Amino acid sequence: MNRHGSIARRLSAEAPRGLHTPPRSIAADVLARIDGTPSAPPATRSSPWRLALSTLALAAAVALVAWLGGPPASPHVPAPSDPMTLTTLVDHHAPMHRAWWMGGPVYSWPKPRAPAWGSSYDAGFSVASALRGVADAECPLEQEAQLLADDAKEATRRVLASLRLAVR
Amino acid sequence: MSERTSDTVRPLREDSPEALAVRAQRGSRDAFAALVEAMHARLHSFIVRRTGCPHEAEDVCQEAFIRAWERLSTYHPKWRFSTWLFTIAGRIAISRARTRRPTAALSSAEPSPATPPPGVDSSIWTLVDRELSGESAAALWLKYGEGMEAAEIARVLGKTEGGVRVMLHRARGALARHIEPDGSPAVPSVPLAVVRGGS
Repeated sequence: MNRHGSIARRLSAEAPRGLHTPPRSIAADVLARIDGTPSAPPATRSSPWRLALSTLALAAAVALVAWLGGPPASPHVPAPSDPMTLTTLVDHHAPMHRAWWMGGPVYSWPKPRAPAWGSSYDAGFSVASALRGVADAECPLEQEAQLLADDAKEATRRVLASLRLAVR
Repeated sequence: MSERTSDTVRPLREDSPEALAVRAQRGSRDAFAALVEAMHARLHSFIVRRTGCPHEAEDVCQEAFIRAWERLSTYHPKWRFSTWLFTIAGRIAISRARTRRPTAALSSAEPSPATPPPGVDSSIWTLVDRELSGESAAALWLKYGEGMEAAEIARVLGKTEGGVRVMLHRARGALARHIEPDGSPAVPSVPLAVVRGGS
């Protein structure tokens, strides 16, 4: 442990010597390439208030849709087999998460049928919603959205496992 | 899930990267140019370790700054700008590595061939660049060169926080095997293949 401490101290102390000086300045090249490419105006979507309102609005919409009987079944997402395993449940959530993260249609996913499926659907939806809020604020790239969607999938898996839903 | 770098809004120094980014968000190209100048060496030091290739690092840096300009509206100054920028650059490096031919991908897994500048041979960072994999070296740089917490490093490298802690521990252990207790370089006796490729 002491060795690790001394290594850590050396790494910190000698950090300036670890700086790789770039061979040349790229500022001029960068400015030339962004010339005529205005940066997007400051967005307000990262505002905590806006995020909170969006989340509330989405939650209300989800509750309303659920109360009214749910969205129509989508021909694009196959219904999970029965009996469902945790894996098929999570896999079934994957396209939902992906579309959700990428800003796709929210209400085109199949309405859950079985009670357990309905609970897991809600759990997965809640996880995806929460993570989507984080992504709106932090996600700089589409690729990262995809990576975070994978996180959403894993989070859903954990939620479902903890609730012991639909696990045969 | 990615973690926040900070939950509090820090007061911004006028010349801090965060303050420059805010001015750039308002349309100041001078501020963005200053931001590029201020961050270039730091970003280059990370990416050259991440990719193991100085020429590739140059291209990644340039692309990262352009992408940052395009996405500047999504940046909030309560996050450290370096974490945001390094995350973008790290993703670009990964994307470029995926599109390269398999032979190129294999070579990128080798220890960094980045040649240290003259005069730094006795630095522990020379040992880092020579003996550790690109990912482990990059993680060490983010930790000790940039002062990032494990959660921030995890965000930048696309790993879990626990995975980052393990990677840092193994990397320090690997370095320790190459350094005598008195700080002098040791004769390598244990191959570092176990840490190459990260965890």
